[in-house]
Amino acid sequence: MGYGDRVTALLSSLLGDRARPILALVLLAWLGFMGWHYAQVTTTRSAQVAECSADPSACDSEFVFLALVEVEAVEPQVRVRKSTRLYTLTGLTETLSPGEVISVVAHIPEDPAQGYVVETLERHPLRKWKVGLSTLGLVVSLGVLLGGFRWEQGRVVERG
Amino acid sequence: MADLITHISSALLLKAAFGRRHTASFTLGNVLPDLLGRVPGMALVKLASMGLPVPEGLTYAPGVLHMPFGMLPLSVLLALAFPERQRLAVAANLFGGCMLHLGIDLLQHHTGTGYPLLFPFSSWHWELAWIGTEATVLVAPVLAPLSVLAFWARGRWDARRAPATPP
Repeated sequence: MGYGDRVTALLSSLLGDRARPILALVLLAWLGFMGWHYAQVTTTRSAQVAECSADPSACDSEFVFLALVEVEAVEPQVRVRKSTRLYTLTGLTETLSPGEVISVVAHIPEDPAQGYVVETLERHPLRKWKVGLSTLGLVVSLGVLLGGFRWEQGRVVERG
Repeated sequence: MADLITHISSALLLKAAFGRRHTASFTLGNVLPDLLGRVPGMALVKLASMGLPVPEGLTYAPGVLHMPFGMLPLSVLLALAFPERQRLAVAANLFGGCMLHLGIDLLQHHTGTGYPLLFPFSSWHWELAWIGTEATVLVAPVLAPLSVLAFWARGRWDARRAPATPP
């Protein structure tokens, strides 16, 4: 028995029916922990960025990066959405329109009421096409699911 | 994330090159990171923009399924739903598809960020930044028919090489 065969046999026994319930619980617990931890990290970071705009002296950086954010409003100020938070932008924002997706590098201003001052603006004009292609991809994925697998005696079986 | 048509096409091209076995698992693995790691978060952000009280952390949490240390347990977990004899091959193909997905996504450039490849062990972000985030939109219309053609041709070639069954 070669090394490769021994590794395959070991992995197969780990994935066997006897270990299945425990393994499933361990994997679910790991994914739950990862999701919880990532939620903590990201919300802490975005709270820090929001705090920065209220008190610039507390910031550890002069800039914020907002990648792939959607413009929610342009009047009276430009506001973009990142997750559940809205950020006010000034600077290179005159030509923006609601619904547009942009990425910005913005400067944290001295005056909190001013909003983040955009220094670099990247537009994403093809974003709608990308969303359209991905929606089509979702339909194809559904086709792969229905055509590539079948349900047999309480298990999923790959066709072919 | 690149668009899903480009992802599916890349999966078909790889299976056309290296053999068509477990194509369904590989293709499914290839779309899983966006299907489970991005779509739920995007839907929750949409709900938040409509004024519903969505906890911020909940919009980010599914993102771990777009990271290597989330993709591997997810692949194994899904493979457990298959019969014992198929499990290892299905898990390997699901995870292989996930990694191909990540490989394509890593080509992209995002302003001020990248992909957290070692999370939860490190917050290090990285990407190659060779193409824009929408560059694949121009590639997909060519790549999609090409990949289907290559996959079909591989099937024909395999069928011709298969030993003839006696009547």
